[in-house]
Amino acid sequence: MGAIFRRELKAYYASPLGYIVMAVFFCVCGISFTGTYSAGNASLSNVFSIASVVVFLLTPIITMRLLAEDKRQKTDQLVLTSPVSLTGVVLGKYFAAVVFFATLLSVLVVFQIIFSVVATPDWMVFIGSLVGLFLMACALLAIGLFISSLTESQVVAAVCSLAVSLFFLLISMFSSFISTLIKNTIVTQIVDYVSLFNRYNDLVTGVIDYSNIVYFISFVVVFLFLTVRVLDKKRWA
Amino acid sequence: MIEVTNLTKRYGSHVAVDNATFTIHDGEILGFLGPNGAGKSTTMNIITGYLSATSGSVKIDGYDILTAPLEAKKRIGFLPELPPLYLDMTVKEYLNFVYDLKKVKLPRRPHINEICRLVKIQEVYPRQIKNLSKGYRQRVGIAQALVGNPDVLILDEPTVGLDPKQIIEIRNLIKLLGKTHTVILSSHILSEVQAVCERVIIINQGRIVVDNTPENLSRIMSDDHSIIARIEGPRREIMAALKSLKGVKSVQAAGAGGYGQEYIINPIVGYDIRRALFSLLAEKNWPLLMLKSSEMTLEDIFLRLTDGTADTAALEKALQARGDKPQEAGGQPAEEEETADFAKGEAAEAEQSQAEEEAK
Ligand SMILES: Nc1ncnc2c1ncn2[C@@H]1O[C@H](COP(=O)(O)OP(=O)(O)OP(=O)(O)O)[C@@H](O)[C@H]1O
Ligand SMILES: [Mg+2]
Repeated sequence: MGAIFRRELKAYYASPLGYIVMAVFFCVCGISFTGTYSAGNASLSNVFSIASVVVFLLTPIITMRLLAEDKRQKTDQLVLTSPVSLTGVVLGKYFAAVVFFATLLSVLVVFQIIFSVVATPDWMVFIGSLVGLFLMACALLAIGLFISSLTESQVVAAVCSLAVSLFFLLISMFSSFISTLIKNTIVTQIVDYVSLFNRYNDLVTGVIDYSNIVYFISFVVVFLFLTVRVLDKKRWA
Repeated sequence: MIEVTNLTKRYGSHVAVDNATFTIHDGEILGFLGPNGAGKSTTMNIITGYLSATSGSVKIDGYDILTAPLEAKKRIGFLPELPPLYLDMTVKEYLNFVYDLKKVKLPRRPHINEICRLVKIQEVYPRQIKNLSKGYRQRVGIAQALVGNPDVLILDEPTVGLDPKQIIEIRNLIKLLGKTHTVILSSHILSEVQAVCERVIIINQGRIVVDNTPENLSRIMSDDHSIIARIEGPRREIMAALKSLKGVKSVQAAGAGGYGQEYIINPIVGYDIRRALFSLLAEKNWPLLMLKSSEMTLEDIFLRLTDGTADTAALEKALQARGDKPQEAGGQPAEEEETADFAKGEAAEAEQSQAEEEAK
C-alpha cells in the first residue's frame, strides 16, 4: 500500500495534469481572493463558495488515471500479482488522490493567514469550511476512483465522473425545489441523502456537526468497498 | 513447487483452459508450448492470481492462491505477456517501486544492482522507460520478475523482442535460475523450449496434449527412422543398389536439384544401414553429399500434435509404456557445460564493457 501510495502521489507531480489541476485551482481561488481582499472583506466565504464548485470539476481529473491507466498499460498485472491485498491497492491509490487534493487546500490556509494579519477573521467558520470542502472532495474522489475501476480509458473515466459529480452538484442545488415539487417523503429523503453539497453548506456555518462528518466518511467507505469489489469481480470475468 | 489441479477457465461458453492438472517440482524448468490462443497466458495468469479459475486449484509451495493469496504471491515473480511497465518512471524508480511493492527484505542497492547486471540494463538504468526500445523494455520486465528473488518464476514469452545475443543470454540466465528456482516459461519457439526446459507441456485449445521431456518426445514420435541421403551418380543404378542393400525396406527418390539426387531410405526396424551404405557408395565411387536421419524435430511433433490429426491418446500410451518419467531425463553433463558457457559469456561481457569504458 505504501509503495502504491508513493508512486501515485509522485505521478501527480510528474505529469502536466497535476500541474494543470493545481494551476486551475490556485487561479480561481486567487482571483476570488483578490476580489474579496480589495473589497475590504476579511472573509473567505466567497472564495470557498467558488472553490467548492471547482472541486466538482477537478476531482474527476484527479481520479481518472488511477485504475483505468493501470488496466490499459497492463501494469495491473504487476500490482495485482504482488503480495498486496486489493484493499491495500485501492487505499494506496485513494490516499494518493486525497493527499494531492489536500495540498491544493493549502492555498486557502495561506489566504486565511493573510487575512488574520490585516483583520480578525472568524476561524471557526474557516475551519468548518475547510473541513467541509475536504470531506466533500474525499467523497467525490472515492466516486471518481470507483468509476476509474470500471473502464480502461482515462477519458471515459473522466467524462463519467464529471457527469456523476455534476449530477450530485445539481441535485444538491435543486434539492429544495425538488422537495416542493414532489411531495413524497421517500424522494425527499433520497434527494437529501445524495445532496453532498448541502452537507458541505451545513459545515460552512462553522458548526461542526458530527453527523455530517459521518455522512461523508460513510460515502467514502461505500465507494471504496465497491471499488474493491469491482477489482475482485474482474478476475472472475 | 507448483501444484495445479483440474484447472478450468471459461470465458462465457468459450473454454480457455480445460481441466489442466500438473505439478512442477523445485528446480524444474517447465516449458509451455502451444499455438496462439491455446491458453498459455491464461493458465499463467491464473497461477499468479491475476485471474481466477472457473474451477480447480493452484498451490504455490502449499499455499492456495485463492485462500492464501499473499503468501502465495510472495513466492512468485511474474513476467506477463506485455511487460507491466510504468512508462512515466525511470528504470531506477520502477525497480525501486517494485522492490517496495513486493516488500522485499534483501538489501536494496546490491539486490537491484545484481538484477540489472544479470539482465544487462545498467546502461539504461537512469532513463525513462517510455524512451526505451522494445528489447530493453522486455529486459526491464524480466528484471521486475526477479526482484525479491522469488522461488517461483513465471515468464510469459520471456525472449520476445530480444536480439539474438540477448536471447541466448536470457536463456542461459533462465537455466541458471532454474537450478534454484521453479520456472515456468511459455514460448512459440520450439528450439528455445528444447534448449532451456527439462520438461515440456504442450497445450492445444486449452487442453494439455503432452507432458514429457523434449528428448522423449522427439524420440517417440519418430518411429520410422528413415534416412535421407543425397548421392551423385546414375539414378537408376543407385536405386537398384540401394534396394539390394541388406536391411533396406524401401527406397524413394526425392528432390533432385543442385548436385545429385536425394533418396529416402526406409530400413527395416532394428537395422542401422549407414555403414553398409558407406561401403557400397565407396566401392562404386558414388559421392555421398549428405546424409541425415529424418528424425522428427520438436517442430514436427508440435505441428502434428496441434493440427488435430495426431492420435494423442495413443501417443500418451506410448510415452507411458516406455516408462519415461520427465524427471529422469536429466542431461546432467550437458547442463554443466551450459553453466560453463554462461560463466564464459559473463566474463567476455565484462571484458567487453570494460573495453567500452576505456574507449570512453
Ligand atoms: N478476456 C477474455 N475474454 C474472452 N476470451 C478470452 C479472454 N482472454 C483470453 N480469451 C481467450 O482464451 C483463449 C486463450 O488465450 P491465451 O491468451 O491464454 O492464449 P495463449 O496461449 O497465451 O496465446 P498466444 O500464444 O497468442 O499468447 C483464447 O482463445 C482467447 O481468445
Ligand atoms: Mg499468450
